[in-house]
Order: sequence, then C-alpha cells, then structure tokens
Amino acid sequence: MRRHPLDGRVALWLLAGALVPAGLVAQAPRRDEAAAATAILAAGRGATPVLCELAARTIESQWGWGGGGDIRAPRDAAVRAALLIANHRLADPAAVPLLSAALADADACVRRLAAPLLGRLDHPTARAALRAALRDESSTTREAAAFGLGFTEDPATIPALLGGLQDPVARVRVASAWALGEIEDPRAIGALVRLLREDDDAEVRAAAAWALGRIEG
Amino acid sequence: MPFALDVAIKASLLLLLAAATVAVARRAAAAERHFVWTLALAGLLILPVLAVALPWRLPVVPAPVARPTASQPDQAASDVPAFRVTAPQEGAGDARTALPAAPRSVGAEPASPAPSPRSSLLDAWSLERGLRAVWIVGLGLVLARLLVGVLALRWLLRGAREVGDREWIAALEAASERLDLTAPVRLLESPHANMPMAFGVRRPVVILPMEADAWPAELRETVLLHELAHVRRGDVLSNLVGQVACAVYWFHPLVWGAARRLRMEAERACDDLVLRAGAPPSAYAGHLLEMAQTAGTMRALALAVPMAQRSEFEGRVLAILQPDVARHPLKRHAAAFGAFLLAAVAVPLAALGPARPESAQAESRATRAEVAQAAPVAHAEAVHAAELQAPTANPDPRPSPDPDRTTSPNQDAEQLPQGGATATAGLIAALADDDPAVRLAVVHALGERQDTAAINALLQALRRDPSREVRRMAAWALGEVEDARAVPGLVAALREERDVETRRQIVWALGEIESVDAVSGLGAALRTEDDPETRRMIVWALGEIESADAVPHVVAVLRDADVELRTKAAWALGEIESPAAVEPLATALAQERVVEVREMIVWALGEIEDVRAAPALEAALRDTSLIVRRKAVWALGELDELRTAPAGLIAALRDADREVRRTAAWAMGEIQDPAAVPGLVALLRDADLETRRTAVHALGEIRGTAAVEALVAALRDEDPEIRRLAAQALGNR
Repeated sequence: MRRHPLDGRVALWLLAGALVPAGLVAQAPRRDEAAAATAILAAGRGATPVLCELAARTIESQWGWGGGGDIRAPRDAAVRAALLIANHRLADPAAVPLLSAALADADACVRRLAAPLLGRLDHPTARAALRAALRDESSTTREAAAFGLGFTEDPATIPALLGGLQDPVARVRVASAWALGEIEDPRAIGALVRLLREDDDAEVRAAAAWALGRIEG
Repeated sequence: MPFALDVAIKASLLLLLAAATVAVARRAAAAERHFVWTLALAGLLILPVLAVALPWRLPVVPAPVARPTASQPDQAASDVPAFRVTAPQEGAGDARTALPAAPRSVGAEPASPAPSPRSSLLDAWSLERGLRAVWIVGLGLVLARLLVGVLALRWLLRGAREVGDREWIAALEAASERLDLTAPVRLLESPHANMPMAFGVRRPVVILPMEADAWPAELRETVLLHELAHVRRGDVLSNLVGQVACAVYWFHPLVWGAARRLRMEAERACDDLVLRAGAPPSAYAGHLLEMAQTAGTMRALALAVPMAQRSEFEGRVLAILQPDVARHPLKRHAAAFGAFLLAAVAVPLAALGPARPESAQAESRATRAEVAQAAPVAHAEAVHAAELQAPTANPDPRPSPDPDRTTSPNQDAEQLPQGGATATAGLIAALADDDPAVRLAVVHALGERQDTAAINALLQALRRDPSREVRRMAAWALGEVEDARAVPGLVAALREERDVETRRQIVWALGEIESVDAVSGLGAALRTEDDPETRRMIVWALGEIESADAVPHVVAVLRDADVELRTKAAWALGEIESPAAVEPLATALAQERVVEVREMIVWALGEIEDVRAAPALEAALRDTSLIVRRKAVWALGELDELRTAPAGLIAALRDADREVRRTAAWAMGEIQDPAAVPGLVALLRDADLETRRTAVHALGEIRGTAAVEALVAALRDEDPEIRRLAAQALGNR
C-alpha cells in the first residue's frame, strides 16, 4: 500500500530540519526575562553599597563585557548578575509585578536595582506601576519610583514627577529632579528653577541645578 | 516591532520563497508545486507559534537604541567598561560627591504592598489592543465563511443516500485499485449536489449529483478517478490548511493568492493522476467541460473539493491536453526534502527579531577596532594626535549621578528662547547659594548648557569663588561653552590662580577654545609655570590653537629638561605647521638623544612640508633608530618642492626594512626624480606585493624615457598584477 506523502519519514525530515537551525540559533541569549529579573534582585539583596552601585550602574548603562565568557574581575554575585543582565533590555511585562514589588522591598539594594530595571522595561504597565509607586506611603518606595521614572524617557511621566518635586521627603525630591533631568523635557524648567531658588535642602537644590544642566533649551 | 507586523513580514518572506521555488521549478509536476504551496501555508500557521515558543532570538536588525552610544566616546573606545565609580582624574576632583547622587536610599522602612499595575487608555497599549480586536473580527468573519461551508456540506449530506448501484460500486473499486487507494470510500448521491465532490479526511466521502445515474460508464469512470485522486492525495486536508491560513492572515493578500494557487494545483495534480491512470486526455477534457457547464453559478464549498470550477478552467484543460507536461506524482524523497527545507527556513525565520542594543554596540565597537587597525601606521599623525589630545578627556568632571551619559556637544547653536533663558538665569542666580555643593552643581549645569550668556557669571565664579572645586568646574564649564570672549578672563585667572589643578583646567579650557588671543597669555604662563604637567598642557593648548605666533614660545622649550615636554613641543610645532619652526626643529633633531622625541621632530618636519628640512631629514635617514628612519623616509616624501631625491633616500630603496623600502618607493612617486628609476625597477622584484605595487605607481609618476622603458619592461613581468598596474601607469601618462 502506498501512503500519503506526509507520512512518518516526512515527519522525521521535518524534525531534522527544525533541529539543525535550532541548534544554530540556540546560542543566542535566552529571553526568560522574569527569571533574569528574579536572579538579579536575589543577587543584589544584601550587597554592600559599593557593589550594589556597581551593579546598578551596569544595569543603567547596558554595558557588557564584550565577550561574556570574560567575566573574571567581579567576584560578587550582584555584579555578575548585573553583567549578565547588562546586555538585556527587558521587554516582557511578566516581570512587572515582580519588579514593582521589589520597589517596596526593605533591602536598599533591591530597590536600587529594581528601579532602573522597571524604568527600562519598555512596556506601559511598567510605567504605570512606577507612577503608582510614586504615590506610595513609604518614602523609600517613592524615591525608588521617581528614580525608576528617570529611565523611562517618557515625557508622559512628567506630571507625576513634578508632583514628586513637592514631596515632603528631600530624597524623593532629589530623585524626582534627577529623573526630570534624565527625561530632558523643557516643560520641567520652571519647576526646577523654583526648586533651585526655594528648596531648603542643599542636596535638592544641587539636584535641581544638575537637572537644569541636562535639559536643553 | 509589533508582533503582528513581525509575523506578517515573515509570512511574506515565506510566501515569496515558495513563489520563487515554484517559478524556478517550472518543469515540475503539479503535484510538486502543490506540495510547495502546502508547505508554505502550513509554515505560515507554524510561524506565529514558533515565534512565541522559540526560546531564542536571532538578532538581525538593530533595534532603536534609546541613547546613542556615540555620546559615550571614551567608554566605547575601550573594551573594558569603565564604571567610573572612582572619581575622574584631572580637574574633576571630588566634584561628583557633592552632586545629586542617584538616590540610593538606605533608610529601611517597612515594605508596603506592591501597587497594582494600571494601564492608561492613551498609550500605545490601547492601539495594540485595537488592532488585535480588528484582527479578531476579521478572523471571525473568515472562519464563519468556513463554517457556512461545513453547514452546507451537512445539508448536502442530509438528503444523501448511499449509492447501491452495482455498476457504480464496481467502478469505484476499479478506480480505487487503479489509484492504489486502499482506504474505503463511501459513495453517496444527494439531490442538492450539482456536481461531484470529495470531502472528509478520516472517512472520505464522494458525493454525486442525482443525475449521475444517467452518466455513461466512461464519464463515471473519470469522475470517480478524479474524486478518488483527491482522496488519495489528501487534498481535503491541504485545502483546510489553506483555508485556516487565510483566516489567520485574512489581512494579507499574498496568503489569499497562495491559497488559490493551492487549490488550482490540487486540481491539476488530480488531473495528472487521472491521466496517468490511463484516461484519454481529450475525453477527460470533454468530461470536465461538461461538469463545468452543469456547475453553473455554484460556489465552491470551502471544505469540499469540487471537480470543476470555472475560473481556473481554461488553464486546466490546456494542461490536460498538453502532451509534454510532467505528470508524475510527488516522490517520497522530494516530499522529505521539501519538509526539511520548510523546517530549516521556518525555524530561523521565526527566531529572527530586532537586534538588541548591545549587538549594535558590539558592532560599532568592532568597526571601531577595525578602523583603528586599518589606520596606516606610516603616518604618525593619528597616533600622536590621539596621544597628545589625551588631556582633553580628563577635565570632563562628569559629576552627574549617572556619569555614563553626557549630553552631546554642539548644542549652543540653538537655544529655545524662553525656557533656556529662564534656566540659565535661574542657574546664574543660584551661583550665590551658600552651599558650595549647590554652586558646584550650578556651575556644572551651566557648562552642560553651553550657553554663552553664562560666560561672565562663570568667569566671576572662576576668579572669586572660595571653593576650588567650584573654580575648577567653572574653568571646565568655560571650556565647554567654548567662546573666545572668555579668553581674557581665563588668562587673568591663570595668572592669579594658586591651585595647580585649577590652572590645568584653565589651560585645558584655553586649548578647547582655540583662540589666538590666548597665545601670549599661555606663553607667559609657560615661562613662569613650575608644575611640569601644567607646562605640558600649556604646550598642548598652544598646539591646539595652531597659531604661528606660538612658535617662539614652543621653540623655547624644545631643549627643556623634561622629555615629555620636548615631545609635546615637537608635536605642537607639527600641528602649527609654521615654516619658522623648521630651523629650530632641525637643530634640535641633531642634538636630541631620546628616540621618541627625534621621531616626533621628524614627524613635525614632515607635517610642515618645508623643503629646507631636507638636509636634516636626510641625516635622520642614518639614524640608529629604525622608527626614526622610517618616519624620515615618509617626511622626505611629504616635503613640498623637493625635486631631487637625496642619495640617502635612493639608498633607502634597498633598505633591509620592508616598510622603509615601501615608504621610500612612495616618496619617490612624490619627488618624481628620474634618478630613482633603477632603484624602483629593482623593487619590482621585491618579495612584498604592496612594495612592488608602490614601485610601479612611482615609476608611473616619474617623467622621462627611463621610467617609460621600465614600465614597458614591466608589461612582460611574470606577475599579472604588476603587468596590469604597469599598463595602467602607461595609459595614464
């Protein structure tokens, strides 16, 4: 009996044809983003301030080590995790709940790392989560949220950040000013000049000056 | 890129590939073409599934990078990422500590519940949703059409009854046998059917119109053969694949076209099967014609395979009647190979995606490395310029909490009228702030803004501020503003300033501004300055300004005890390119003991291009250092109006060093002295191809019969490349 052409042997060939390119492609980076975010937050928990800063800067700047296999220098888990994720711009909204919870974490380094991760996550739900966190009861959460909004490059977040400039806690105002400087929208100039002139806190005034230097026009 | 667009583009690629395959395989049988279309349409259905399910991405197109890497020049240049956790050197000082650090709060408060994500109706999300809704509506409509087909089939079946006629059953069995079909096929007749058709995948059915009983045996035979051929080929299934692909990609015209082709090829493949089973073509074509006429206006039912449809009829009949058309069925190995190809194309196609920023970055890094490698080493310029401009990189204080990102330069040209004025005015007012950290941030911001309106305020800060960090930053800011109006104030401040770091920063600013007005002030400072590094920076700044007025000041330090200062002085004179520096440089070359300085002097003489440097450079051809000799050969070739090749340069054509020989050959092409011809002819035998090429080129430049004869002789060279170049050189004469 002769069978239909799409028989078992054809199926085997289909499988083989799928496996060959699959093997070639498999070396490309995996994109399990929620897992990556979890890993980096876990690695950052309890890290010393210097190492945490190092890790955060790596996330912020998206630098890699070029090679990948060449990671020798940093022995610390936080840095390694940061380097792993450095080449990785998150885009998966699945990571948002995880990261927005981390904004409210008790650990300073977890908040520090979650903010740029969330800010750079290119999805509207991430920005919505940051805006919501800017109204949180805890000032450290608000600070982390303002900080994260600085990474969104989204002018739509300006009203929320202008509100952050009025925050009773100085560090939230600092973070909000910093974020407005990052977003570089001239609409923030008036509020920043006022802050520079009137704020009682020197750090806030310095942040306002810094932001004014960033904004063109 | 939106997922739908991504998939649509990939679908187009797949279909175009299929169309190309069919077009290329012109002589293929209809069964094979049908298989290609089936695979392509099946691939379309797999594509979105794969795109979601595959755990990898093949980056191809660089995705838009939010921040251009070009704004991070110094980081991109080095392979190891600088984190800049340590304070920048020179002039930046502790500036950054005072500035708004990225908030890293330490005060641990009890964690509050995570806020729930809330999506705004106004953002892109809703657009995506809208598109999805439109797509679902389209999908529903096409699927509904399919469903109507199914219902129509049911309606057909309702009135149908099994054909009990012995003749029919015998004909069915005979046809099955001729087609190698073992699966049992039910034969029904229905009052609603107006033409024979086949359907059903697992329990195939052939349905006949009531009038079929009146058909002659011959017609019955062909009809059964045709319908059983559909069953045998599994056309119902492939047709279903095409219909579903149309439903999913309803917005995609190519998919509709492909599905139509699929049906057409199925019919033709069945015709081929029937003809191979022995039906005479002319009779079969006649029967088809009959069917088509009875079919009238009946629309094809989506899930059944009707025997004849008018639209595609002509081509079919022609194909049937054509004697030399390939009619073989699909061969097993062809099917297997096609399946392999589909998988091999669809999987990577699905994995294709926009490249992540880092690959773009890596790319630019790679090209940068390539460029660096490709840069000709013979020309000292690039090397030295890079080395000497190093001081410029240092003064950037980068006090930002996020020092990785600096705004791009050249933004002083356009200033938004109101906001800019407000911001600058607000910042200037804040220069009176009590807190030095605030003033530092203000001065930095003014430097970032590069607003010339701030020049006077910045000069005030530079000369009056009690904090040297602020003064240093003010000098940096004035260098960033880069306006010549600041020069007198900067020169005065350079005279007054007691902090050495601030003085260096002022010198750096003057080197950035590159105004001639700074020359005398810098020259005076060079005489009084004690700090070696500041003196080097002054000489660097004078080199940057490139004014002949600076020559006496720079020449004065050509014999300085500081080796680095001497090197920089030679570099600066090479930048200034004033003939007034030739004699001092030649004298210094004769007396200089350090190789690096001699090399730089030779480079400077080559840059100045004054023919009076020739004797000194010829002497340098006998230098003990190979590096100096190489550079001297190059410099001699650079000299303007040198028309007689020095004996030493002709001798250099026979030098043991390949680079000396090659550069000498190049220099001969510049000098164009016929005396060099014998030496160049000898170089045509050189082991190095590039040297041979350069020699041919030089011969082409030199006038006179000797060079022509040499080129004519080179036309018979055994090396075709040399023959070609010689012919070219002769042709250019």
